[in-house]
Amino acid sequence: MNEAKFLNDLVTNEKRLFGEKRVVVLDDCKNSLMLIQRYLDQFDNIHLEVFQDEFEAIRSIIREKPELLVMDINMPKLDGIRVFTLLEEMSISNVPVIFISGDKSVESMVSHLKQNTSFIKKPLKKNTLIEQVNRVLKSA
Amino acid sequence: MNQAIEITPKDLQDLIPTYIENTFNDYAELKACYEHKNAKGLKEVCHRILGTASAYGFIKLDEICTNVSRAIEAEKFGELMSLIKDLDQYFYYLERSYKR
Repeated sequence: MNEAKFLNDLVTNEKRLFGEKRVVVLDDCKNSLMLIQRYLDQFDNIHLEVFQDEFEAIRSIIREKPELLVMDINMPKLDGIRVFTLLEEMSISNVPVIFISGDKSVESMVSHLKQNTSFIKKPLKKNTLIEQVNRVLKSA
Repeated sequence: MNQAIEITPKDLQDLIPTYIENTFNDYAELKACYEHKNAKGLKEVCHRILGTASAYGFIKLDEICTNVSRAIEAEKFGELMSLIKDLDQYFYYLERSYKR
């Protein structure tokens, strides 16, 4: 482990000790990722980790289970539903997930997954995202 | 076509240069899909742009891409050609407005 990574992990752990909640965001679209990050910046009690790559996000989730996963559905390597089922297969269950997609037809598919998943339709609205994240984190 | 200059929410204004740079890349990808008659790719890039354009305040871009998506669905290729021209014009003005 290099020094920079060691220090970064140390700071992350310190923050978590003081009650910060870890939120992982996964979206292959840079503009979308930037927007979600900006909207969630207003939470001072969360530690945000953003990923454009599906496998990097999975690796990070395996390393440490987050309190919330916010992810796009339509992605090039693995779609969001597949990421979700992979995590379930790896026994990384009970991670609340907020799925985001421009395709309204996938909403019913998400509603059948399990109780702690929800769906937000793109284009993303600031208030909708904040309300959903607040709701999940309050119950975490 | 001054519609390229749009109204961005105040809390996102500092992100606009990066947003535009990324959107120019999407536009280049969209044009490549159009030239290679790749309808699936064209639709995917349109959806990507539509996912954030209105949130960043780029309403006209959202409108053109919505119409491009509809034209692909309906296989109205004549209309598609005209919409791609609108998009070219839009990005021409966007470049003049923001990349000065």
